Amino acid sequence: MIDRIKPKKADLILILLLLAAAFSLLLARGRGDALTAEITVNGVSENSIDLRAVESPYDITLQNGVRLHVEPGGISFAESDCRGKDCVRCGVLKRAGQAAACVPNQTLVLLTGKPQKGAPDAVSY
Amino acid sequence: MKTEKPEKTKIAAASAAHRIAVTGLLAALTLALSFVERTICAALPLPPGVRPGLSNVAVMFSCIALGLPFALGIIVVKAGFVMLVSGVSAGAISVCGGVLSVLSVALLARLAKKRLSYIGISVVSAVLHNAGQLIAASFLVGSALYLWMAPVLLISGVAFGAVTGILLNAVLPALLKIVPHVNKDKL
Repeated sequence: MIDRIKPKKADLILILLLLAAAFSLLLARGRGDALTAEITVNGVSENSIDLRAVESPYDITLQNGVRLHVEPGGISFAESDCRGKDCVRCGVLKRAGQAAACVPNQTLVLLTGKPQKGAPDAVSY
Repeated sequence: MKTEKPEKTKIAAASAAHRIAVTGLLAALTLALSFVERTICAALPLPPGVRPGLSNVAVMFSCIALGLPFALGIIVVKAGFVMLVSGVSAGAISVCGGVLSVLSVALLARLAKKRLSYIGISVVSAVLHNAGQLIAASFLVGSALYLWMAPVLLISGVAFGAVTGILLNAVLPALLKIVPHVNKDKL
């Protein structure tokens, strides 16, 4: 009676195409050996931390009041004055490619496999 | 033949009021589903920002059975709710995701005719919902967030889009009981 209940061949093709796009994006992103946390506020780079070099945990407080917890190999939002607290709920970021953001405070923490900013880098773009 | 015309307009008028009442019901269902989902997801080991989007079942149904304006109305109500609970920026992100997702459902239902099933439509809708949210969040944070989040949200959009599509298939007969006037050719 209702034509769209039974899955069609086009559904499968569509799903495969989208998954292929996702995996090619993942591959294109690449992976480095380093683990660098890049902290930006409103698009401006605030801090860049080499998480592999962290030996004991410490907290940093940004100018907008957001407190970040830095530990060996990981970083997390510890405190923020926003309402949703989604940033704190994101937990500890540990792998390159992970990101957490506190949108109301325009704060973004991104883990990349690239070496820390300022460190010599053969590729520039 | 002659008596048929006035009767037809009567049904159309009744169904306009009916549609608005059903839109209210579906909006309430959307809010309830998104609230329950939020609560459940806090306990699930999902990557940050990833949610199944169960309320999309109600939104998709409203878009297909009632029409695009009714679905957009639900999106606005939902964004208002999100704004009250989680703040203005969360509301803005919600409305961007919702509008893109509903537009894609309306467009696909028209363009792809019956070549795509609800699963395919739901997958595209979920992926575009994520895309809309990501674009809004990138704009608000001032960084190209989408570069990093896109693969995760694409994969989760496909997975949970398929789940909500299957759910829509399952609940469609029940939902149709509350909108008996709907033109079955549209479904």
